[in-house]
Amino acid sequence: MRREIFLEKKDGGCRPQPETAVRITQNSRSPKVVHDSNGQHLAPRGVAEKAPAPVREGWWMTLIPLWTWSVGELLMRRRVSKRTALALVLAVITMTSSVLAVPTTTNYFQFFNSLAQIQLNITSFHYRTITNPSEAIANISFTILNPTEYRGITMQLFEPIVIVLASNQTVTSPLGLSLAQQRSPLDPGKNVPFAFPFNSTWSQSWQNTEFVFTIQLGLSTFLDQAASIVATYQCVSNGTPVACEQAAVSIQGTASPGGGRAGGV
Amino acid sequence: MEEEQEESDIQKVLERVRKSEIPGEIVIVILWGASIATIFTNALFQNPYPTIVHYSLVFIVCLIGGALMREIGKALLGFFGAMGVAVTIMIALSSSPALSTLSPQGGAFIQSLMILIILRSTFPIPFIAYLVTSMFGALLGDRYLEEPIELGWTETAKT
Repeated sequence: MRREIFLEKKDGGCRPQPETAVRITQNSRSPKVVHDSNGQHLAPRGVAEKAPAPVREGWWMTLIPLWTWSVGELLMRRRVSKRTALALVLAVITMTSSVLAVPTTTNYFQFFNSLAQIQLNITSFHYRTITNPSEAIANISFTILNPTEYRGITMQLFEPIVIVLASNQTVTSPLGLSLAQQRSPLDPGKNVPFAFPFNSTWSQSWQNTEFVFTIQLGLSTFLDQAASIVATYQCVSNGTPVACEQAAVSIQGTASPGGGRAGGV
Repeated sequence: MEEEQEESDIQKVLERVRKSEIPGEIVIVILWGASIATIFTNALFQNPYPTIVHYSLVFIVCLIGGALMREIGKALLGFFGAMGVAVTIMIALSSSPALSTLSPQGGAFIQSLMILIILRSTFPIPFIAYLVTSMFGALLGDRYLEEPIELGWTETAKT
């Protein structure tokens, strides 16, 4: 005999459903109220005794880590000794701090990568003689570029030294140029420009002239409290724009947690 | 006959291991060290010195670790083990990028700086403070925690 039952709708109305639909309803987490055709409440006993259909949980259930499930199960039982519970607290602290440490560790790894990839370029190089033939004025423009996605490095010191090589020998001794103490954040992909005009002796008789720049970039990083990082670059130009090469990364001074710098590394 | 005897011996050993507290305590020491390492890692890789919050968290971890060991001697050994695990993890983490990306010289500089920071952050005052905390935790554990650690709690359902 086919029996029709009614499933209560949210708006209070009822609609007829085949009996097979009841099983699905009974297996859901919040079974709806079941009525017969006379509006009487139907006890779910007969239906509930049938074999339950597999419960379909949300897809996210599969992503819950095993330990979370285990801890939850254990706590639900409420029969855990104090010592085991405390061990679980320690495990949860470890797991939580591990998860929280992931972004900072990733950031730290990116910091090294970024430090190694900071680019220094000479973008323009102009010189002109002013007291022919002995003196010249040069205007040199540099740009600093952080090609990585790391944020947190700031340039705070730009210290160039230049020597001029001509006719296969050094014709000027190392010349310290003006020191730039300027805080410029090296944001990802942003070119930070620096221009340096300087005077130099100049001879029209020089052959194969090369300008060798040694530039020290003082970088402000998260390690500032402990030490300053200095990246040294070398640029060899014959009067044209060039890309500089990173020669070294070093540390200037270390400080104790309380302050006060002392010694070198 | 010999095989049965062998199986019986293995079962005895397994039973002894199951009843022993040592596996549980080893797990605790590893968790203890790992939590100290991750808390300090969180601080050192962005500050670079730990703040009072990080020191307090490690203080709590040492209190829990000591309490779980329940005996002064075991807490002492556990603390040294945990600090060994922690310092090893921190040095390994701070050194690993230095070996690959930067020039060897620059990498060595920063690696030595990080090792210096790690040692300064953990020795000697914090180390002594945490040692005392662990001892105090052991006293508390001895007083309030008498039950063994149930390593097999996922296998047997209690009713």
